[in-house]
Amino acid sequence: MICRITDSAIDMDELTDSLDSPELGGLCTFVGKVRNHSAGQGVTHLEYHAYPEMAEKKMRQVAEEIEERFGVAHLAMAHRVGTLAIGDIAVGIAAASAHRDAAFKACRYAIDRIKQIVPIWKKEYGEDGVAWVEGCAVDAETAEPQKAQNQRV
Amino acid sequence: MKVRVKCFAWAKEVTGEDEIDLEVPESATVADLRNSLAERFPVFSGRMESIAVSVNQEFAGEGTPVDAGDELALIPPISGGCA
Repeated sequence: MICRITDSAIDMDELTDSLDSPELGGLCTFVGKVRNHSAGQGVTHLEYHAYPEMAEKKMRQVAEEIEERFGVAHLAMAHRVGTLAIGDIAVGIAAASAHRDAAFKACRYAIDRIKQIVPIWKKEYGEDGVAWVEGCAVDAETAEPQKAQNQRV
Repeated sequence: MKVRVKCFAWAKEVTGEDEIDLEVPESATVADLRNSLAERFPVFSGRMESIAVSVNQEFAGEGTPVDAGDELALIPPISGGCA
């Protein structure tokens, strides 16, 4: 199981190779890349910041939730930090199971959940200046997301 | 007692520090930590509800005890959408 914050380029082959096993017939991947626009504005590059120790711990929590919900125990996820250029891979996820349905569900859940509870922050550099993208405030009492905000500060 | 608090993203920018020391009462809770934070850095007052506090790498509610030996951090809203 890979749950990793890294300042190096994400190698999707490494993630998928880590899930190579004769009983796993379905392998689903998600690749999140740096986009050249956000909220109608051009983006030149991004900075990702993390609280690495807590982020990896929360990624392991996501993996546990996936095992409980979908019975999928074969996961690999990596999120990059540092300065990223347009087209760079920011996040990579691979989920494998015997059949495709559970692998698709696990992969989808992993990326959605990472964006809710894993302490990673994105700073956008664009034509209109620089902004922290604040998608999701966590309600500390429940450790679950508050309502959607998607503001920039 | 003095506690050390990690600052990330927006919180790091407005404090200018990776970590800050805050003076809190003995037997303090997360709520006391927030009071001390707002006193020292008034910029937090206006958006305290959007800043989560973690204690030993778990999100922590207002009544959670904080101790000088705990790993504490300020967690501004994270980057993903809530969809």
